[in-house]
Amino acid sequence: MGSGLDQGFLDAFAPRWWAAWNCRDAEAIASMVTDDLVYYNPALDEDLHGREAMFDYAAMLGQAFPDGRFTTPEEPYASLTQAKGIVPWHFVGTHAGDFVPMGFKATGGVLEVDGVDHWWFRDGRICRHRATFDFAQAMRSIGATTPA
Amino acid sequence: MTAGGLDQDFLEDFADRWWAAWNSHDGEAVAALCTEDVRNDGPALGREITGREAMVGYVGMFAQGFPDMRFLVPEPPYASLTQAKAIVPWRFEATHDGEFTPMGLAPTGARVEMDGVDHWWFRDGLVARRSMVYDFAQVMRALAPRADSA
Repeated sequence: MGSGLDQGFLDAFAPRWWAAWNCRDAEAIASMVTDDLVYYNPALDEDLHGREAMFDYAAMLGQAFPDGRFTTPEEPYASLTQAKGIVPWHFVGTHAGDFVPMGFKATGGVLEVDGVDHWWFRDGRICRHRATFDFAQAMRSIGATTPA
Repeated sequence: MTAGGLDQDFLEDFADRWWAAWNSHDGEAVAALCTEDVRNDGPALGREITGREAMVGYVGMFAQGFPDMRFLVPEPPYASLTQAKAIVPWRFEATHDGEFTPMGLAPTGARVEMDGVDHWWFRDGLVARRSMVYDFAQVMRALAPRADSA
């Protein structure tokens, strides 16, 4: 596999990852990242660090969007030059609980957004995670304004 | 190349030409890399535009708002193994020294540094559909404080 990421590994990893999110299984999610994970998405002010922070964030997202569901419009893309994948996703979920990082109270709106994840791997686990999506679009979809 | 997928060498060569055209602020050159009926969408406009002429105007809109804009390429583009499609990471660096018409915003002098990706769908060696993914909320945050104090 040279210095790139094995496509077969990525094709097997991605369904496990999304199944864990869609079951709101924070423990399973945490088990798929390294102890020293660095995690970022546009809803956060700063990076999260470590497996425990991943567990807490996944659990919080699960209660904020109890019917939240990730689907994948296409296969994940394995890098040819590093242990990395880019993974497109689509998320739909009802904002039925508070979203703590931004201090949003439940709006009852349906949040719908497309994005991609960047996953960097070490020893078969995600060691760095960065999600790219339009947070302004996400907020508009639930009728909230974007905090400055 | 796998059946139905996109050739990596073609993609890397195409991407070089695409970003060179953008970094020259050459809307005609960007449009020449697109099909006549190209569809383009992204957070800045919040709607889809179609056709080569619209692409020329689209490049011009960015070049006017951000006269020193540059797209940097942090890693090679990713070719799909199953369809004529790619995902292309980029980093946008620019100074808001001109009017950016989608926001109707006078120049703020704000620095914008933004990571994102493009989705490119190809037909006959040209981009037939392009979709940009990045966090427009971050762009607004970069520009808004100065807009408020202006």
